[in-house]
Amino acid sequence: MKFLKMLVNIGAYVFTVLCVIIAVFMGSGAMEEISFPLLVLILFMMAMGTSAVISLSDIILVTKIRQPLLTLVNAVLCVVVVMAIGCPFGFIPISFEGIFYVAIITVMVYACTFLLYILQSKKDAKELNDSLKKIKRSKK
Amino acid sequence: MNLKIDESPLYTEVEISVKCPKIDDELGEIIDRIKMYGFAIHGYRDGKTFIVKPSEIFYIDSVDDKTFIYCEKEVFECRHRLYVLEEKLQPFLFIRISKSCIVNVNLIEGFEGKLNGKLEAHMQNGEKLIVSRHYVAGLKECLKEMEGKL
Repeated sequence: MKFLKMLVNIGAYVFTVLCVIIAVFMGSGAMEEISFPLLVLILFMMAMGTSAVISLSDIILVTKIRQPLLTLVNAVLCVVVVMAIGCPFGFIPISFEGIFYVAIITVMVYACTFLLYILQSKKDAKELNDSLKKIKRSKK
Repeated sequence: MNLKIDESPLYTEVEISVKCPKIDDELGEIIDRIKMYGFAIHGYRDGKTFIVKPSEIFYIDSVDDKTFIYCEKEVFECRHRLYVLEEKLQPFLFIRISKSCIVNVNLIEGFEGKLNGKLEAHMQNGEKLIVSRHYVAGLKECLKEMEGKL
């Protein structure tokens, strides 16, 4: 199982990197040449997409889902990112401006994910502190 | 149950013998606790060997294949691997909080959820340790178990 998970993770990396390479160097139809801001945007998407695809692989391969909501958010994000990467290549028929909307959505979704992580850690800390307090009280 | 204690300056070491028809859970627990009596780990510093009691250890960290024992103010190197120490120290309520760190639960002051989403354990000596998300569930379980026993 561990080996399979590792394989999927590596696959996810390779897949995302390949998508970006294709989009950057071979993209045609939707645009004539790739501008620097777009390149930065695509690289940003690559980082987001890699993380999202890996989280998706966690859903499929990890039997015990620890934070289903976060993983679900990441899975949705994965679809959004794939759309963004596919757009310059002409895979997905959305307008060029769409990429920027997608970027905004990506940032927002990630901000929500980050917020959820913070809330989760605060909740964990509270639970652990409560248990610790009870133990200390009982020892006294 | 008969309890016989024979205290004399003639004895050079402590000897405990248990006579029973069968070892039940309660007795098993007492035997485990007796086994822990006098248990200590060898720590090394400046070419000298020190005996470190588990109750004195705040946490144990592994860096570059070396294991370090952190007491209140002192740090010792240990020749055991982290997973070996984890097994040995489990009865003393040491628990893994990250891939390279095991901590003495008895010496934790509290926990704090940080703004970067990480969880921090505050030790009684003022040190702060990062708790990996992966080990939070284990830590919760350990504390719940302790709660149940008290």
